[in-house]
Amino acid sequence: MPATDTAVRPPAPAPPAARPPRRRHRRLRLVLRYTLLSIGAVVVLFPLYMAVVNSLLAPSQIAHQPPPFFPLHPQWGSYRKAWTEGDLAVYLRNSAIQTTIIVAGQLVTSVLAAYAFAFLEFPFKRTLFVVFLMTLMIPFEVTIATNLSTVSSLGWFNTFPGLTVPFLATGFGTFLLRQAFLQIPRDLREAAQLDGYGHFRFLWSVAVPLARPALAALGVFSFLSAWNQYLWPLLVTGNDNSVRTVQIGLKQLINTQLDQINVSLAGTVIAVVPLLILLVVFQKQLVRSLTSGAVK
Amino acid sequence: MVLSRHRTLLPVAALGAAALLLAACSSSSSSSSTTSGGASTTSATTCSPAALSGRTSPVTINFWESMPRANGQTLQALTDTFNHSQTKVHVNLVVQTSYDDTWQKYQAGLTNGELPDVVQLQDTDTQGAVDTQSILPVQNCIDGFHYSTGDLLPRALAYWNLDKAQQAMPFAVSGPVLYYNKAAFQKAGLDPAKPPATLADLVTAAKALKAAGQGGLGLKIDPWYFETELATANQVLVNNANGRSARATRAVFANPTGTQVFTYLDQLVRSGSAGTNSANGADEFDNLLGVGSGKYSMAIDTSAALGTVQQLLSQYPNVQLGVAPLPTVEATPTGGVQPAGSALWISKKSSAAAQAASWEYIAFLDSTASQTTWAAGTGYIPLRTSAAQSSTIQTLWSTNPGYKVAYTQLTSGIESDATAGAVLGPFDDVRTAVINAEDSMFVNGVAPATAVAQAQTASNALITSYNQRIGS
Repeated sequence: MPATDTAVRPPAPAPPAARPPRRRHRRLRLVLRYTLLSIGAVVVLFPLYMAVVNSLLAPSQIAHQPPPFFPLHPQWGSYRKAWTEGDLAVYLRNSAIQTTIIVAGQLVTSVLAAYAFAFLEFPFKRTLFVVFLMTLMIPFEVTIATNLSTVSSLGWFNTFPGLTVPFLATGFGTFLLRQAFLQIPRDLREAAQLDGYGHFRFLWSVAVPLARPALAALGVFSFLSAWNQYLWPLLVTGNDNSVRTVQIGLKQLINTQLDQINVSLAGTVIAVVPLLILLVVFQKQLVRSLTSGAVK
Repeated sequence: MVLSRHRTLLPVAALGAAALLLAACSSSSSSSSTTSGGASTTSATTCSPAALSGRTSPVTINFWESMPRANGQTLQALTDTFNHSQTKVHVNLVVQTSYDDTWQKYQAGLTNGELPDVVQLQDTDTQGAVDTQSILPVQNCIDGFHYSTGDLLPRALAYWNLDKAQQAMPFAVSGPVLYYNKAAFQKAGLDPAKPPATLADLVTAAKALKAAGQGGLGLKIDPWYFETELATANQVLVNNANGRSARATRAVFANPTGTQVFTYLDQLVRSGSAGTNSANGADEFDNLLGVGSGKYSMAIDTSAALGTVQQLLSQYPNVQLGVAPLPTVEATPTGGVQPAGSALWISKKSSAAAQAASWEYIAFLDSTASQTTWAAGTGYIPLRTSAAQSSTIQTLWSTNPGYKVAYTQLTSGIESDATAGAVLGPFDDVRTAVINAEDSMFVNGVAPATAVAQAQTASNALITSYNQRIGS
C-alpha cells in the first residue's frame, strides 16, 4: 500500500468529465451501480431487520402468516426482559474484558513478531516463518483438549487468563503485519538508522504508523473472532457466571421456550450492537486494508 | 426442547473422542473401587448415609442442569427448598445452556477434572455417559441408602437401567404427543373429540383437513417419533435387547414396522398434507407456530412443551388446542411409548461425602412432593404413582386433561426392552442417518423400504466405528 495513504485522507474522486454524452453514460452507470448495491444491501440486512421486527412482536403475532414486516405495536418489554432475565449486563461486561485483552494482546505480539520477520536477520528465519504460517492451518479445535488441561493445570480455569491467554498470539496477525511492514521502503529504514533510530524507535515512530490500516484490520478481525467465540468460553468457564461471555448467555437465552422467541431475539440484537458499532467506526480502515495490496 | 441434538460438529466429536480416550486411560490406571462397564454393584459403602454422618459443615455439591429458562426456574425453586430444608447438603445449581452443551462440557471436564457432582444428561447420551467410566451408578446409592424404587414408574426407571443396575435416576421425562386444533377439525367435518389414533388415521385426517381448506400436519423431522413408533409396536431399535443386555452392535429397525412408519411419513409429505421442519435450527418451532398461524391443524411434539404451547396458542382466536396420544402404527399397540428426557447422574470422581450428598439431593428431586411440583410447573411426567395421585396433579389433570396424556402413554402397554427405549453410543449420529433417509425419501423419491434399509446400513457403520473407538 502507498505510504501516504495513512497519513493523509485519500483525495475525493475526481469530478466527472464535463462532456455531456459521456456524463450521461456515467450517470446511468452510477444509477445502475447504486441499484445493484441497494438490492445487495437489502438482501444482506433483511435477516437482521426481521430479527429486530420479531423481537418487538407480541407472542400473539409471532405465528402470523405472512409474518408482519413492521411491528405495529412494538413490545419494548422484550428487551428489558432479555436484559434482566438474561443477565446480559454481566455477560456483556465479561465479553468486553475478554475481547479487549485478546485484541490488545494480538496487536502487540503480532507487531513485534512481524517486525522481526520483516526487518531483522536471524538464523532459520524462513523456517520459523513457515512454522508460524503452519499454525494457520491448524484449527483451534484440534488443540482444544490439550489447551484445556494446560489452562486448568495452571489454575486458570474459570478466569480471564484462561479465557484469553491461548489467543494472545496469532500466526495470521503476524503474517498480515509482516506483509504490511515489507512494503515500507528500505530507504526509510536506512534513513531512520542514519538518524540514530533503534529498533523500537523505528517500530513505534515509523513502521506502526505506516501500517495502521493493516493494524486496524487485524484489530477488527480479532475483535470479531474473540467476541463470537463459543466453544472455548463454554468449556473453560466454571460453576458461576463470573467470566461467562455473552455468546454463552445468548445461547442460554435462545435455548428457550416457544412463548419467548421475541425475548431470545431481543437478546441477540443486543449482543450484535457492539459489533455493528465497531464496523461503522472502523469501516474505512477495514475496507482499505482488504483492498490494499490488491494493486501494487 | 427435550430432544434437541448435536449438529454433528467435527471438532466436538474429536473432543469427545479425546475425552473418552483420556477417561479410559485414567480409569485403567487408578484403582477405583467400582469396576467399569456399569454392572458394578460392589460394596454398598461407596454411597451411603455413613459418608454424611458426623460432619459439622454442610457438603457443597455442584449440579449441572440443562433446562430451558422457565423450567429452570422451577428447578431453582425446588433446589432452594432443598437447601433450606436441611443443613447437611448445599446444592450449587449451575445453569448450562442446553443438553448438548452440558454433555460437551462434561466430556471436556474428563480431560481437566472440572466435573460436577451431579449432572443432568439427556437420554441419548446414556451409553456415552457409561462409556466415560466416570459415573457412579446410582444403584450403589439405592443399595447403600436402602432406597425403595417401588413407587417410581417402572418404565422411566427401566430406560436408565443397564446390565441390571440403575445407572442414573430419571428426572425430566416426557413423551411425544399430538397437538391439534379442534376448531379446524370442526371446520373440516372431523370429530374434534376423536383425534387420529393410528398413523393411517393421521394420514386420512391430514388429507381431509387439507381438502377442506384447513392446514394439514406440521411434521418435525425428528427420529425420536420413529423410535417411539417402533416401541409402540414392541420393536427394538438395536440388537442385544435394545442395547440393554450388552452393548448394541447393530441396528435392526429395517423391518416391516420400520418400513410401515416410513411409508406413512412418505404419504403425508408427498401428498402435500404435511409440511416439514427440522428439529434443530431456526425452524425448530415451525410445526407448533404453524398451528397458530393456521398453516397446520396438527403437530407432533414433546409433552414437555405443553405449558408453553398452551400459553402461546391461547392467544390465537382461531385455535382451540387439543392434546392426544401419539398416533401409533398398530391399531392396537402391542408395545408402549418409551421414556424420553433426561436423568441425573453422579460423578465417580466426587468424594464419598459428595456422592452421598448428591444422592440425598437426587432422592429429594424424585420425591413425591418434588415430582408433583415439577410436573405441575413444567409439563413433564410425574415419575411417581403417588405424585400422580396427589390432589395437585389430579386437579391439574381434571381441569387440563392434556397434561395427563403423556403420563397415560408412559404407564400403558407392556414393559419390555422395546418400551424401555434404545441405548447406543452414537445415538445422535444414528438419528442423523435416519433423518438423511427420510430426506432421501421426501426429496429424491427413494422408496420407503429402501430408505429404511439405507438408514440401517448407515447406522451399522456408525455403531461399529463407535464400538471400535471405545475398544469393545
